[in-house]
Amino acid sequence: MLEHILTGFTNSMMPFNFLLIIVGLTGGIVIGALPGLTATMGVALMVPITFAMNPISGLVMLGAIYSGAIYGGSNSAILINTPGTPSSVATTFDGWPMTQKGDAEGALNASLLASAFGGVIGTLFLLFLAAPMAQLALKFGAPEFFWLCIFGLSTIASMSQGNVVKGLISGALGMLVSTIGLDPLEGLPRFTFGSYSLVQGIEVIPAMIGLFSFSQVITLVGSKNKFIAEYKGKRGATLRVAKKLWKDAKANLLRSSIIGSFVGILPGAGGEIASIISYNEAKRWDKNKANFGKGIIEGVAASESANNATIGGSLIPMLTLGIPGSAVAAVIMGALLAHGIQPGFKIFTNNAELAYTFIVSLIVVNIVMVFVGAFLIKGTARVLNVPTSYIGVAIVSLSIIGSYAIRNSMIDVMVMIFFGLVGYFGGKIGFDTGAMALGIILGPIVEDNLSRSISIAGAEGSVLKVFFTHPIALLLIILTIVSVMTPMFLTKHRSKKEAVVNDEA
Amino acid sequence: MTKRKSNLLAGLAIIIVAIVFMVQGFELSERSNALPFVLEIFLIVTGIYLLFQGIKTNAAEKIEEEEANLNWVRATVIVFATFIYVACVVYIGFYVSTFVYLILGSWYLNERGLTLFALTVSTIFSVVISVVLYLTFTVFLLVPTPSGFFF
Repeated sequence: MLEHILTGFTNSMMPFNFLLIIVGLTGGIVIGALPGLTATMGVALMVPITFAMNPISGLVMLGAIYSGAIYGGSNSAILINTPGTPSSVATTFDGWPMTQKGDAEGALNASLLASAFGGVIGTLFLLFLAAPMAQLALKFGAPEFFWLCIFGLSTIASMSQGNVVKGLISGALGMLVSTIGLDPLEGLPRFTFGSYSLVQGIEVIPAMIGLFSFSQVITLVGSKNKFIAEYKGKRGATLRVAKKLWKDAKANLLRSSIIGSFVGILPGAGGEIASIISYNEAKRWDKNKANFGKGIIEGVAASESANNATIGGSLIPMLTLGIPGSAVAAVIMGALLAHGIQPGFKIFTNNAELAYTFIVSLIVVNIVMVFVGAFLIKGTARVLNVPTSYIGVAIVSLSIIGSYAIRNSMIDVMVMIFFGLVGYFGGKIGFDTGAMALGIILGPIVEDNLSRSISIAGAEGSVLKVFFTHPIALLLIILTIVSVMTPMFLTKHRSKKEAVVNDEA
Repeated sequence: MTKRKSNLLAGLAIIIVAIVFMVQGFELSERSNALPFVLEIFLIVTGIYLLFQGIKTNAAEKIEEEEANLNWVRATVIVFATFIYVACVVYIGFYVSTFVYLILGSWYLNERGLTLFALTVSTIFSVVISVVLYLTFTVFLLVPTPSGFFF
């Protein structure tokens, strides 16, 4: 194995492959940063180009685009409160407040370093634990997926501390909206309100762009601030953030990366679920829980390390079992098949050089990403120096093209504007756009797995047995209960403490 | 906004949304409507809870508002301009509509007022952004954009 790893490293460092890594990373970061353009789209666009290369170089470039795009999504999440990809939703929770506080550079660097760290951990999982992890992934059935999503949704309780009811309402509203379109069980249209265009359902990305981006534009153009936030580039920001992460967020980074790697393995569960769960766990284990959501590096680090760790995880079932763990992994699998390479355990013996070069190149990609990303941050952060009068209207144009690009449909543009207004006015009466986005993202997965679990329960004759007796499901149920109860317990504890202080005063 | 008004508005809005969905759901099969129905009931119950909270809350208690000094006129103009922009995208095409929207939008919002200098800056800005969007989306990424009579 060591011999293959060394060969993989040598291949990755060959000038042409190294150049492809830099080009792929840059392209991926730009694609990820543009709202509406996803990692899947970026990788899929580049697949035809790889046909002109040898399979090893092609795969190296696709891996670089994948990593760059997942990290790139955090740039717009931090700078303009618009997640470039769904997996960066949780990054907005602390990234945007950091920008508002004038520390955009800190947030961007934390995101970069955490992404690289998560990416390396995910790849190490892929390199050394592929076989046992693939076996574990096979143990995840519909009930386990259902509970995993419920666990993800339980984040709302801790996200909306101080107004849990409105947070839960926002999440439920998001889930209800996600049921618009074709019913996954019977294939019939639901809640289309007489509009044929709504049969295709509400696409997550336009809704998210509306909730985060268009609603933000309304606030920006109406505000008296000349700029989004104050930005003054400081030398050595990357090093400063690296020291801070090492000092305060070691455990957080490792935990989030492990969560990301695990979630990535599960087909259908991607960076969006991993980052939300990791953010919640980071908050739960942190001594200063109350600071989460107010703009701290730890929040950005948790979300970003987890979503990049899913990359390695999502490639495990693809390379070992031929089952892609994510949409991007499916596109990469398509590229492999087009080159005449069959994914599966035999790939590690029949095409060892290709398999190990691809895996090792992901480690190289993540290391190179620190330098490419740090270079690009200096440019992207300057967006904050553009007056809001220009940036506001430019965001609207980007939001329109980004929403349209998903399905080439103007209905998605209208959905984006509608959700922008919902986000803005909803925010005024206390609804939580983050919780609503979670509901929209997780709603379809919850419904799909709930219905499949009910079908299984019908066949086995016991709902209890299917939902509550499998060990993984039980573990997830316990984690969900702890996740929901902790904020309630803390709120009560805090109120009691405040009452005692008031009495003493 | 006061806490009372916020809770009353939120409760009312959520109950209306849930009822609209519930009425639409009557046509669906029990299986198809299972999860939406549970969510609608949840929303109605929590909506009623918010209404009661609103009634109970002290009428003077205010919620924290970050953007108390929001310029409503500017915000409303840009929202309506965006509606017109989207309508134009369908008929005129994305790039021409974007070019005009960016000039007029940034000129209107400009701090210097509606001066000739500000219009020149907005035009340059609009040209740069339109070209960057064209090169990024149409030339390099081959992403289709809405096209109308023009471009």
